[in-house]
Amino acid sequence: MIKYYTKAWQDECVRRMQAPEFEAKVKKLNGLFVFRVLDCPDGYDRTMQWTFSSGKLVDVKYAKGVAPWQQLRDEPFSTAMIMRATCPYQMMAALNKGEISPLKALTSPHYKLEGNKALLMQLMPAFNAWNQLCSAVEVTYEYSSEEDEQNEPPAASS
Amino acid sequence: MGFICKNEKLERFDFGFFLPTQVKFGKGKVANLATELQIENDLAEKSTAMLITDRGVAAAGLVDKVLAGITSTATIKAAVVYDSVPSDSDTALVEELASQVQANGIDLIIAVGGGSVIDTAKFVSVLGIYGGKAKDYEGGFMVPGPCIPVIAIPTTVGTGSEVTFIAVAKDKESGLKLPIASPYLYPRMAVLDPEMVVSLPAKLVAQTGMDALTHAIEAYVSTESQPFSDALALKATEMIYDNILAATQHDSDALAKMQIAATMAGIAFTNAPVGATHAISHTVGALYNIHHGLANAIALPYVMEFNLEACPSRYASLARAMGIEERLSDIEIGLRGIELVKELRRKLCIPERFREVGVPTDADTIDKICKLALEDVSMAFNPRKAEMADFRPLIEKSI
Ligand SMILES: NC(=O)c1ccc[n+]([C@@H]2O[C@H](COP(=O)([O-])OP(=O)(O)OC[C@H]3O[C@@H](n4cnc5c(N)ncnc54)[C@H](O)[C@@H]3O)[C@@H](O)[C@H]2O)c1
Ligand SMILES: [Fe+2]
Repeated sequence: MIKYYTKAWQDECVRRMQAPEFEAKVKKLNGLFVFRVLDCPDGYDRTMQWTFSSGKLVDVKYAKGVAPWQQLRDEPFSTAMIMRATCPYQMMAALNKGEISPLKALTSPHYKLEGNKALLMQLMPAFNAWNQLCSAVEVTYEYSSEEDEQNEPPAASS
Repeated sequence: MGFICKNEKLERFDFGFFLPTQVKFGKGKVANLATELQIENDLAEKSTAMLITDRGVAAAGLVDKVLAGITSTATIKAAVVYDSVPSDSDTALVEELASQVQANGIDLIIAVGGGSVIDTAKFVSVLGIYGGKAKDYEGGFMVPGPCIPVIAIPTTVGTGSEVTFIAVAKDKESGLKLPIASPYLYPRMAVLDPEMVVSLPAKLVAQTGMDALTHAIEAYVSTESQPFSDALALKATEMIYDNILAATQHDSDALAKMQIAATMAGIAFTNAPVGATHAISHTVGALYNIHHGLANAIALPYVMEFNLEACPSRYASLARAMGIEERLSDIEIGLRGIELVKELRRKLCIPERFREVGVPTDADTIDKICKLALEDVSMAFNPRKAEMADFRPLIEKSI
């Protein structure tokens, strides 16, 4: 089964995100959205970047580094990003499982959201559709390595 | 260097400021309401109004004033007057009123009252066009497009709902509050007429006025604060602090200033959302039926103490806006400001703790309030993030 927050998971999300019905629901998404997920169960920090143009995915990036991947953790927020969310893996997993609400995550000291919040609130219906799509992908949350997966890029050095 | 803000650093380089509501202030504005509407191109042709209010406002004779005001020219007639909005509104009621809107071809909604009435009108303006249940629009940005224009005539000096993009109604069955937020919820016009607040009882001047002070203070320390909202929040803090006591003694000048300041604080917090005080008051208010302004007034100074270390310079500026002149450290000045708020609360005869208004003090109650308050959306904008362990002592103090 696909391991949550790995390259294989991103690939599957990307595949599903090409559906025209999905693109219609998220057509307000424009620009770069960055996620940093720290302390994954296999000992890595991971980051995923998604760039949209009117709801269409135009670029995705994926990288991982041994935790604590200081370079990733210290990288300043840039105005090139519409949004950057950072949180521990366990919290991201709980969100994906629906165990905690996005609101609960937002109010937690462990979830860091950067970007213009007024704009992000306005994108809420699109985020909801995106979250729904991602959480519908069947995954396993506990894993110790992802070596058996295809297309897996090497880890960055810390 | 300026005295209040001390030329502080610009912290945010990406923000917006939004105020689509037209604000009109003046004695006698309501008596000439039809004229005020007719000079606006988009309102001049409106002909069939629904007037929404509550019993207390109607009993104070304010509805008659508005009816006289809108029918002073021939264009508008009030097709439906609904005068029984309950405290904190009601989802079943807004659905019922929406069907009347559709049946009567209502093209203008006039809200005369406090936050409960204005929030009701906002819901009706959505459901009157798009139909469905109140719950269909729960959360942020679920309203699909423009709604029936709302003219908001506030009769309390608190919520600022006349200029905000939020509305809350209570679901009677579940007892939960259902919030909606959308840029389509901004009232088209807010009419501030000092004659509409003259009848407000002293206790409600104090409680709704403390709601407005809470809006101003929380907007100023909000994670989303920015210079435009700051200007309004600071000025509102000063005006409320200087006038709330006199307003409870029905000094008409002070009451008019409270009315203006409450709207300014509303504009501030619709751009820089409120924080932990509101998270607590939403929770305690819903669980124990405590007036929104009263719940805020009780929680406010404890939350200020809790947040002080997260942004001492901001609390120092607020204290200076309330008149603290000493040159001390930011923390010390901030603490002086908190003392002023506590002293004000005492002078207004507002209880200091929730137990005095019937909230139980057992550990389970405290846990429940903590848990629900931490999940309230307002916590996302509080300057200090919190978890159960550090939030609990704050709730214990305020209980
Ligand atoms: N939408 C927003 O932005 C926003 C913000 C804060 C609070 N709220 C909501 O507002 C509600 C509270 O509103 P409120 O504090 O204005 O009180 P309210 O509207 O509940 O009114 C309180 C009481 O005051 C009486 N009253 C009002 N004006 C009067 C007058 N001029 N003379 C005599 N009696 C008068 C009413 O009849 C009522 O009994 C809460 O439901 C809260 O959730 C909304
Ligand atoms: Fe409020």
